[in-house]
Amino acid sequence: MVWPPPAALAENADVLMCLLDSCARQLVNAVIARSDVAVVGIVDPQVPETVKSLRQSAPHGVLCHPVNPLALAPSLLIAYGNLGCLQRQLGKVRKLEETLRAYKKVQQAKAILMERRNIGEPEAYGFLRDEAMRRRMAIGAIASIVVESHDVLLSADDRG
Amino acid sequence: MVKRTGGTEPWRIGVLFSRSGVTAVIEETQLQGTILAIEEVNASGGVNGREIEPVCYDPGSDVHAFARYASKLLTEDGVSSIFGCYTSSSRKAVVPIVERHNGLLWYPTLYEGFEYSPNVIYTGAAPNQNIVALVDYMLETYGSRFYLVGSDYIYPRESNRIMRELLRQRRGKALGEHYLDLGARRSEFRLLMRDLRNNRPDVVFSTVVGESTAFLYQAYAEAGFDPRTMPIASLTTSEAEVSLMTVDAARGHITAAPYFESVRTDRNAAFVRRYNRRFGDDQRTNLCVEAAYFQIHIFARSLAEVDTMNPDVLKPVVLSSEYEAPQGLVSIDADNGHTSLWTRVGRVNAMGQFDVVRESMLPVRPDPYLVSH
Repeated sequence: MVWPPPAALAENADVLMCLLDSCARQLVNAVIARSDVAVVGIVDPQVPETVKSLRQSAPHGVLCHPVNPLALAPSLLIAYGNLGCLQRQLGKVRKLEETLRAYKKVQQAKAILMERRNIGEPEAYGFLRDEAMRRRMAIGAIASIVVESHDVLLSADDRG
Repeated sequence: MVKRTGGTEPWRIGVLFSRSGVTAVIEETQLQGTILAIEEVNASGGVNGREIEPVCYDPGSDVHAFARYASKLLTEDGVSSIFGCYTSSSRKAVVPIVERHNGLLWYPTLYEGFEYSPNVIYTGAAPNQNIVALVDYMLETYGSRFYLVGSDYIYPRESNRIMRELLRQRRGKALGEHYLDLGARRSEFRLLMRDLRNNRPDVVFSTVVGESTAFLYQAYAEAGFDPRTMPIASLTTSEAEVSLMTVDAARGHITAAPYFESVRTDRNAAFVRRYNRRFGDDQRTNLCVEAAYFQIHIFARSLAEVDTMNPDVLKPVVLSSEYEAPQGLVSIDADNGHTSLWTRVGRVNAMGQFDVVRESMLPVRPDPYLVSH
């Protein structure tokens, strides 16, 4: 238990339980943005700003002041559950974004290879796939190398 | 929070395959593959001394029932791993539920790709593991003019989109695209034959699934077409669907799959023998049985290592694990949760079995997003 709320949370904290008043706003928002600590917000129906802050900061669980000890465990449980679900979805989005980036790189690399070597799309793809297998790298990584080295050569040509 | 239960209580798992409805023919075989593997694990002493106990429901080929039972398994039955789903529509209904409850869905069916979920292990083929080899083989062997026919739902529509793209890259041509209801009747396939007669394609690419598959091949045979010059090429017509038609209707047609019953490995010979002993000599194995079978063994091995069903602990062990499956060595890709599988193209012979006419030298890594095409 700490008062007034510190500016940052201890590194190894798993959960933050906090009255959602104006003193805590900065801390709560910073912690929620990290998505690795479960946040249980405490609202006080007597203090309208805490109720408003509940909507704005969107914690993972909620308790009402005065806190009923019996409500602690269930609200912790739901907060952990919500945080886990959020983390899985964020992980999924991250993976999809990576895939999208790799996809774009492969398209670019294919276009470069097709033009420079005067080959068709399947051949250009075949080249990338074979190189990826030979070097044991992801095809997106090989494509990045092709695109980057092409850019380097182009700018060298411009200078020369 | 790793929960180690210990003791002798069984490990409970969920099993969702339809035993009724339009796709029961193939889903029942997946159920049998699952049961066989569970019985093998249990016969050899279970997992760390505890048996695997399946909680099975029959969703009756109904998408909403899949969602309902998945939810029941995860919330009421205390199960965290679910083995099941055949159609993509049923998988799409179950995925949000396993994601919400942090369960694991083990999906033993080929599908159209373009999906990633932290809560799914995909043990069937992604498009780069079947459709690409199929297109190349058909183009080289039969010609470049394709006619696309499918059942009307996600998988066929997405597969045909991929097929058009692959044909475009290879200077092939899609002459027409035709969809029939999942529960289409025999007469509707006769109408389709008229369209084939008018178009005279080199290849009929079929993503017709379920019971009506037999109507397609049967109507084709009755129309007097010749599979030597205009074969049906499929990713879903397995030994199970072939067993619903006369051998004459099936003979000469082509399917691409990671596994056929005819695959010549020692593992497979033993697998087929045990499958027949358990379910009868008239039962054929197929790609979906095999995936349903080996995924249970991968699950059991991983479980033995971590001794907990908690997906957060179990999944990292499952990812990048290897298993000597009937089709050959397979492994789960740590990056995308799909499986490295063998690519094979087979042609139906006079026994109703597939002669393998093309085969990859090594397992093919899954590329569910066809990033590379």
